[in-house]
Amino acid sequence: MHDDLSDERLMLAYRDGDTAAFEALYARYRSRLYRHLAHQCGDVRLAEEFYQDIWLKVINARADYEPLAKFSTWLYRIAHHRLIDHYRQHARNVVDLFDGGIDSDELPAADSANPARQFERSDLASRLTRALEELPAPQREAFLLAEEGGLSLEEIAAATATGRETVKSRLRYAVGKLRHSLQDLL
Amino acid sequence: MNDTPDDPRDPKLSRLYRKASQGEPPPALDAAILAAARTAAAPQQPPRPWWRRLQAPFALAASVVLAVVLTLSMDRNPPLDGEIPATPSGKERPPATDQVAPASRNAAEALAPAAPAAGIPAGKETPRPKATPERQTPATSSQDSPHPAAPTAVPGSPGASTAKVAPAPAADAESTDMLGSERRKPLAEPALEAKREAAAALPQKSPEAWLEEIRSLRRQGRPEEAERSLREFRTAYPDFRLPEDLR
Repeated sequence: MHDDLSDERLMLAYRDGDTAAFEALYARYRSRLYRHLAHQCGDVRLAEEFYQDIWLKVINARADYEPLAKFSTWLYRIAHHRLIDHYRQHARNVVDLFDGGIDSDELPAADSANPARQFERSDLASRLTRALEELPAPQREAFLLAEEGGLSLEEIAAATATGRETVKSRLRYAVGKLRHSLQDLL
Repeated sequence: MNDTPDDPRDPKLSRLYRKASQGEPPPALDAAILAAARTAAAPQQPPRPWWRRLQAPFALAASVVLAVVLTLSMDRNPPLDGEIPATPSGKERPPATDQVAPASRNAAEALAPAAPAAGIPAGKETPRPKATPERQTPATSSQDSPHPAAPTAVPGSPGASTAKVAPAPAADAESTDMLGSERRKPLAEPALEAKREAAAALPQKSPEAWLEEIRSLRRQGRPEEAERSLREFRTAYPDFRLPEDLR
């Protein structure tokens, strides 16, 4: 019954008290949002905490929900703000990257020089995870929003409160670095 | 995915990413979020407006203020004789026509069945006190009286107008009066205390004897003295209902 409805219609139905609509909506985004967060913060426990916070914000905001934008854009915007809040508290330099104060393309990734972790990640998933971790946070976010969230450049720009060209630049850098890191797998 | 010509996404990289990307939220997390969603969507009572939420405290405060104001008002402005309702309490309830001292009341009650109204001589005028027990003075306690519930209002007697009641079961009258007096008691208490003190300071004299003296003075053509004595009497027995010939 709910399969044919758009995300926005489902959210409106949930706003009106239809919990089955929320369950359908949740099923659509649970894996995508979780993987986005897991890749973005690199810590499963942290990702789970963010994941729960984000969904609770969606639930609590249901009464005021209006489909002014795509649901996915709204959801990932909440995720973006949650991550930024985390970075503000624990990694101020990452916030500077999002603000564009530092040339993000010159920065090394946090764990790229950790031999122990490199050894652990021998399979495809580990290679991908490592390659993503090597990206600066804004580039990683742009790539994940594009791949996991399926957002367009404009939607990524709306979700991250940046310009389309900035998103395009970040995404281009991210794709280039990932292709370089995973070229033997492509 | 690659929706515009300048979109830098790489289809090969996207396929690799989808193949390699893994991870699912734990079932416990799913359950917690879905439970929160159901709880939030459950119908809730609309929040009451602030004035409805404060209704009970306001009512309580208004009651307290009203009670205090009334108590102070009664204390500072004691009611006149006619203003006190004739509703005695069960314990201190005076008879319908005579004042009854609490001590002598039990004996009077024992005699009640034998003292119907018809047994009282019609010509015997018995001054009728205010029936409010709080207003009884110690000076009135020495008087005899018939049973409180006994119908003592004799047609033609001074008390008949107010005590014109059919013979009723004592328990009924008493319970009714108890209710009334319990409600009124807190309001009349301060005035009662003052009057009791005033009465206690005066020489003890039987009201009937005093009234007879006043009548005697009038009969002797000494109206000034009679008037003065009557004023003193009213001071001493402010609650005593005067016979009509002395009003």
